[in-house]
Order: sequence, then C-alpha cells, then structure tokens
Amino acid sequence: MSLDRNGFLIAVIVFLAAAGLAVGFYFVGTGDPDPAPFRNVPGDPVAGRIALERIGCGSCHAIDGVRVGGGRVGPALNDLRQQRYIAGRLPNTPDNVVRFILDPQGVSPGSAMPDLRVVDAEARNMVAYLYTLGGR
Amino acid sequence: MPVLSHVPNARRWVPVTVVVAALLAGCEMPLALAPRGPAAAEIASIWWILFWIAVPVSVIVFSLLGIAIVRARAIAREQDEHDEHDVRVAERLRETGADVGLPEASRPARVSWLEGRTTGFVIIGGGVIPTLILIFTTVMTLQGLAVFDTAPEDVAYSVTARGHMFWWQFEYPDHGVVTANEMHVPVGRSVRVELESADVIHSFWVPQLHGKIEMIPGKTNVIHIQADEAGTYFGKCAEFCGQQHANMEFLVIAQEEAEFESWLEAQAADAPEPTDELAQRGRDVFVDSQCALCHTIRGVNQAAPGVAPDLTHLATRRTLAARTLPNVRGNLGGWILDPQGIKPGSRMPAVNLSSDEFLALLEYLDGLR
Repeated sequence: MSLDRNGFLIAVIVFLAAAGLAVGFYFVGTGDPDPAPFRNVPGDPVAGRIALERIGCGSCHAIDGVRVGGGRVGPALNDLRQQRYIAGRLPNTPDNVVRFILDPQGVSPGSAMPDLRVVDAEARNMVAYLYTLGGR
Repeated sequence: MPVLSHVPNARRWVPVTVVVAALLAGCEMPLALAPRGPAAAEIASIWWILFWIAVPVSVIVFSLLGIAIVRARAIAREQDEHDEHDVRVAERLRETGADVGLPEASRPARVSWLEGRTTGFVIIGGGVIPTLILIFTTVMTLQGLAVFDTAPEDVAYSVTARGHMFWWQFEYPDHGVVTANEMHVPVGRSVRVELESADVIHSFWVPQLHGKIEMIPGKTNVIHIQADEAGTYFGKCAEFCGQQHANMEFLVIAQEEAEFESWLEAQAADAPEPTDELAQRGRDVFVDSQCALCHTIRGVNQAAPGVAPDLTHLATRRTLAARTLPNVRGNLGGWILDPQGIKPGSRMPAVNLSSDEFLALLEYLDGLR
C-alpha cells in the first residue's frame, strides 16, 4: 500500500517537475530579452525586434529573439555592441549603424547588404534592439 | 453581477468558470472543425456525431470502471475484517476449551444486481451495443464520404495541383497560369482540383475546405473544393514526404469571382519588363546564372518544366519557399543566397553570385509583380 502511495507521489512530483520545466522553457524560449534600452540609443527596442523580424533581417543575420530565417549569410549581430567597427569601415556607434541600414551601398560600396527601404525611425528601433543583445 | 444573481449559488461557480475560461482561452478550435466549405462541413458533422457518441460511451465505461474499483476495495476490506473476526473466535475457543463450534457463514453474502446476469451483461455491453454503434458510424461515414466522389454540377474552374519535395505547383490549364504555393479560388464556386505528385507521395490538405487527399506519383486524384467565404485558408502536406515535410505549406486564397478573374488575367501575362537599369541587369544575371535552368519566368526563359517554382509573378505571392518565410525583400535576399540555411534539404542550391550580381537579381525578382 505504502509502495503504491510512494509511486503515486513520485509520479506527481515527476509530472509537476516536467510541467514546471515546460513552463520555464516556454518563457526562456521566447527569449524576449530585457527591453531596457542600452544607454544613449534612442529608439524602442521592442518595436525594433518586431521590425527586424518583419523586414526579414533574420534570413541573413543570426539575431537572438528574431525567430525567422537561417542567419548564415551575413555576420551574426548578437555581439554587435562589442564590435569596434561596423561594415568594416565605420566606428560602431548607434548613428553609424542606422546610417548603414539606411544606405548600405553608400556606406560600404560593394557590400552584399541590400537596401531594404527601411525608414529612419524603424532603423533606430532596430539598432536599439540590437544594442540590448549580448555582453552585459 | 445582475445576470448571475438569477442563478442559485452563482458565486460558487465563479472561480470554476474563471479557471475553465482561462484554460480554454489557450485553445483554438482545430481548423477542421471550423469548416468554410461543403466538403469540410461534411467531415466536421461526421466528427461531431462521433464525438457525441463517444461522450456517453466514455462516461458509462469510466463510471463502470470506477464502480468496479470502489466495490472491489470495499469487498477486500470486509473480507479482512471477517478474517480477523474468525481468528479472534478461534483463539477464544482455544483459551476456553468450550466447544461452541465455528460460526457459520461469517462472510456476508453479497448479492449484486448482476448476480447470474454477468454473461448477458458482457454480451450486450461488450458485443451487441458496440456492434450497433460501429455499424451506424460506418454507414454514416461512408454515406458522408460518398458525397466527395460525385462531381458537383456547376464546376467553374479546374486546377492541377502538383506536389513536389517540398513545394506546390498550381496550374490553371485553361488560362495558361502556373504559380506556386498559393492557390486562388472564386468564392462560392466549385473548383475541380486534380492532384498529382512529381516525386513521392504527398497529401493535399486544406482543413477548412476539404479532407486530406493523397497525391500519388503516376495517379491523378480528383477533388472538388468550394470556399463559402472570402479569405485566406491554410494548407499543408499531410503525408510525411521527407526532410522538409514540415515546411511544405501553402495558402488558398478565396476571392470574389471578379477579383479572381482579374488575378487569373494578371497571372497569365508574361513577366513585367524591368524599368530601371539595375533590374534590367538583374534579369541578365537571372538568365546567365544557374537560376534559369530550373526556374521559368514567362517572357524571359523556359526552364525544364516542373523542376522549380515558376517565378513569373513571384512578387505577388505572400510567402516564399512553401510558406517558410513571408515574401519580403529581406527574406527573398536571404533565400536566394542561403536556401540550405533557411530550409535544409530543400532542392534549391545556393548560387555563387558577386554582391553586384546579387543586388541586381534581388531588385529584378522583387519587381516581378
């Protein structure tokens, strides 16, 4: 009898643990990172993440939290904030990243990065999001 | 809560209702049970009849099981008590030496309503009733499904749907239209769909419009679908067909007939001429690269038929790679450069292009409206 009861308790504990893990992974898995913007980056990182997904950036760049795409064409952007240069030629500042997104060929002639006709405010949001990633 | 005040003990049910509502809020009705066409409606009604048969059957069977468990435990407990009682009597006999004899029938006779009727119960409950239910459901299902074999009288259009690893080709042979991963139909009209396969067995499934029908190499299956409401309906391959089976989806777009007609007309036209210099260069890149060996752009080239999606009006489609990606410029670029990163196992190889060639090609393809 007590064996049955222990077996039942173990089953309940295992079930609860599994359910807890599932819930945990759900929240971890959606991976909405801390939306607090990195200082000195004007823009809305939450809107930025959505824009990155909608514009299709994830097809070429690996970006944490952007779910769509393969991300192997261009550099991963998860540590963008730590880079000293962007596009191989400009010092890494939020304004310069915005410039590059708005006019890739103008900033870096010969780059394969296409002009995706992003508008200024959207580009600022995207940069705000990218600067929340990595190396806290 | 003026409404609830009419219901006795209403407050007691509030937390229950809240919890149940919260749980149900996470659910969505399966698409197959939200039919938008006659064929799917037939399937849904069969499903609901089976469901309402299954509910009482389950309730009765699980109740009997519960009763059996409870009664078995009660009997076991009583037996234990009586065994203990017998032992006590025997001990007292030994102590006193008195010859009072063993008590007779110390175990209670339990008379059940089933006593002597168990065989009949099993035959009726386990044999007769299930047989009747199965005969009824079989006849009902076959009758319902027979509807699919009779062609409706007013078939408006004919489409050939061909399954490929891992995408769909839709051809409107009477109109000279070939497109991919997106099938358009007029609302309220019956459309004949011929189902074929180019390689392995696929299954054509638009849950809100029709049941799953196999696409079998070397055999043409015919179904008739009709969408009763304008809208975008989700479809997918329902027969495991290989590595990218999960990303083999498509859309059925039901439009008012006039709108559908103008879509057909636009799709039948050759690809638009590129207007600016970059796109013109992109067209040259397309023709000179490997792209043109597998993909046809009507008015530009003729590739081997049926190898890869026709791109004549690529930019009008909502998705890329059989609904793997939304069809936006960024995704189109990524897909051209790294199809194996986005959809590993897809039949599309990466093409080596210089950045100039790539940007021109992207400009051209993105303008194929």
